[in-house]
Amino acid sequence: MTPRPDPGKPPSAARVWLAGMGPLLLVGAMTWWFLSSGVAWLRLGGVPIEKLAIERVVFRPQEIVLKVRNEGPGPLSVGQLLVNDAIWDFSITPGREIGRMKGATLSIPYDWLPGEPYVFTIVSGTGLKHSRTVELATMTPSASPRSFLVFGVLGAYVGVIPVFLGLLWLPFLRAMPRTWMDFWLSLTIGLLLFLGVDTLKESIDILGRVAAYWNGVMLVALGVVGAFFSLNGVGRVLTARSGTAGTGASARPSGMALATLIAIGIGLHNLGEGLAIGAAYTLGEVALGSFLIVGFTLHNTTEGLAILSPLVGGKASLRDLGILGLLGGGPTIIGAWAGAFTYSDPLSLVFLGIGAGAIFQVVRVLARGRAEGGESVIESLSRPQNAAGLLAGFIIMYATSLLVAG
Amino acid sequence: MPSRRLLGAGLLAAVALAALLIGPAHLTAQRPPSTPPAPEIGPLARAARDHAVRTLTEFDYGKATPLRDGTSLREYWIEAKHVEVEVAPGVRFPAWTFNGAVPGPTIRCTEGDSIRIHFTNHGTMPHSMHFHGIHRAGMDGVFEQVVPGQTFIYEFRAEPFGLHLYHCHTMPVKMHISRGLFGVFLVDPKQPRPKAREMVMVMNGFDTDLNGEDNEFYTVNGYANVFFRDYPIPVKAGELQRVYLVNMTELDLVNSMHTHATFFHVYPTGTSLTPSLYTDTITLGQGERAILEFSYAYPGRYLFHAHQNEFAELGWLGQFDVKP
Amino acid sequence: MPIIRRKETPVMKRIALTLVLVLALVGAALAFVGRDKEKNLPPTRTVVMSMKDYTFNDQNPTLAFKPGERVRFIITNDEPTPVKHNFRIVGMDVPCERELSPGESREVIVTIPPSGEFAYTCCTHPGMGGKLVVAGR
Repeated sequence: MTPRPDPGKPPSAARVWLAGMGPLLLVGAMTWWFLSSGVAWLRLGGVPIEKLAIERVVFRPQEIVLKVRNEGPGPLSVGQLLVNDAIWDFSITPGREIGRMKGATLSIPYDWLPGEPYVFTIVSGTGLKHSRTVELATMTPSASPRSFLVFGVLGAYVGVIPVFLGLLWLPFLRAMPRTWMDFWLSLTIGLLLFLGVDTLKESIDILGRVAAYWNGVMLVALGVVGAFFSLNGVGRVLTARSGTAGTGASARPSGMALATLIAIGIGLHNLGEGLAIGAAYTLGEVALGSFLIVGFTLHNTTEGLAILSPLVGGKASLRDLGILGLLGGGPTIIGAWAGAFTYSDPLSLVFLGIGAGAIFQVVRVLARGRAEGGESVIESLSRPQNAAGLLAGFIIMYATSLLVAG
Repeated sequence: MPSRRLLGAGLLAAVALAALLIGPAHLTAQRPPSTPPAPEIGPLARAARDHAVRTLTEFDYGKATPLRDGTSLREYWIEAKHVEVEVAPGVRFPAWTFNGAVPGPTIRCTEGDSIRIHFTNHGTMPHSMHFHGIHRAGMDGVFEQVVPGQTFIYEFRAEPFGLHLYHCHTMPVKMHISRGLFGVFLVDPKQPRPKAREMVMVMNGFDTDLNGEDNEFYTVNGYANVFFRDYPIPVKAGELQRVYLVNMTELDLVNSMHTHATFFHVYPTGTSLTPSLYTDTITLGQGERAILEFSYAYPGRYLFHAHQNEFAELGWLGQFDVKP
Repeated sequence: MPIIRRKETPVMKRIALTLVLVLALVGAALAFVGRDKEKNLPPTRTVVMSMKDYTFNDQNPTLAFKPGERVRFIITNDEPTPVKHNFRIVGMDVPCERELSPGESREVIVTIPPSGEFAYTCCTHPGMGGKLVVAGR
């Protein structure tokens, strides 16, 4: 029965601190006692499981660099390095002994061939093997002005330009009868829903190779939840300032506010997409063929359509459209830079989560907008023109995704 | 609305935490040196290297007692014990050994000698000694397993002459051999072979992750690349070299040896005094062995290795350093 | 910008300012602690690496240095036959530079890192090389 403070007198700051720190100090003391005292009887024997992750492989001229991390429960020592099943010389810093959760860098003098597969195996002091395969060796881009430009242009070509091209559909949409608005907006919802699920699916691929230590699923969840609720907050601010149809709980954002929200959501998603493109190239996992670029371009053009739909009824200046296009497509460039120069699996999981969360938040806003009177979102989306639009959106995205499959 | 003071305190705490986490790493890196450096080789590495080099030229003739018919009674003391050894630089292996290292001691005698081996099992499971030779059933080391703590005395006549081997024959035999329980059993002919510089080379593999499927390293005399990096074998140009080559590699069907820049005469199993082959590459199945005789005419460094180059690149690589 | 209006409240401004200040302080502290003091110190040790018979110093020795030492390597090609060699240390920023013909030599000055083991090799002849260890504290 916790003692309740006298309601008339607020507790002193000191008491509050003690109440908060007290349990923490006790846990710390208990841990210290267990680790330092001879509680050998409690410690279970057996060989601890080892896990060494080769987190990053960097290809330089006549040299390969491996960044590894000890993700196991105990210290690990690096014994021998095998490249394609042959013992090879290497340098290692800070040293052969790697503590729990610590990392090390191995530099290998090796005349690697571009386009060839390589298998790296580290045999630890206990004789266990830890491997990583690179399907296609490619020179790792270093952050030079030229490579910045190259990946920037790539991001622009794949992300920014298609979104702007999609925005060009505005006159066409405006020419359509008003009754088609429902269809277009539902199509947008379908598009975005597909995007959200697709983003989560991409994160599953990465989850496969990230160590359990990172708790990858929670990283994705962190991104999803964080983006979802942050954007919701942003949306409320936007709604409050831009004028609404209705007040209070049924306040709906104006067309421009909605379009901005969608653009931000799509931008966050494209951040993840740019990351994937930049990383795929440097991880040597895909030959960035023209086929792939065309696929991404088409995929992203339909995103421009999604941004447009709320604007059909109202006014939109060229400047506004320009900003929306940049909001939606620009982050692809930033993602491509991040993926090419600073890729890390755990970080990319967070970004993908953010992308998915942003999309789902936008979908929620749009779907609520469809609901009229007191009907539920599901009911409103089941109306014929809405359902048709939803399905059409899904199918369009599915078709264009086949071009980027793999 | 959180009070500004609390916010400030929180930020300060965050900065302090960051400094605590990042700071010390930088500070320790700059500490001035205090002990003079020396290229240290760890005790396990030194033991592995020394044992591999000693196995080349050390023979255990046992305690000899001359007998009336001209032969000798030779007594040997062998124990089985479990030891952690280094099999490649930086890689340890929980080996089961005869007399503490892999391979076990080279037991040498003359044809016709009476052999008595006192075998004590200091391991944690039954072991035995099975000799490749001609002997009675009770001395075969198969049905008579020696439990931990027990001593068994093997007695037989050394026959036939040749290059033989011994290994543990406890089930699963694949594992007991793979873990290191083997050694060379060399029976000299009554008429000794011509004088030569003799070397014992035992080829084997180590399955360090114990998955029973593949060997991670291949070695000669128990330490990967020992005769390539640590001890290029000194050879005198023109001198006759005799290599007692034995294959104790488990998990791979065959092993081989190839010498650069010279050819050798092959005496399969060493049971004949006339060679049957003149070549530079010999392939042996598990348990097979051969005596190789060759010489190098010109000084220089010459490689010798398995011609299964996948084995060579995983530790079965050496060199002869031929001096004039 | 069609929607967002810049309207900063005093609290937001103070939080932002405090954050910027804190970040600047932390950054400055880290930069100070991690600065490279060794850039122009003269080398305290000289090691000759003679390349002959496809080996360094006849036995590809394991070299040991103290962390932070400034070491000068004098690399000479002493091959009796026309064979070109090179010298590199992976992980220590000593790259493959131009090859040396017999009789030529060049100099490399390095600062030994705080810890680690490094492989020195000839770029053109794999297997020709040895280890460099950082020992002592």
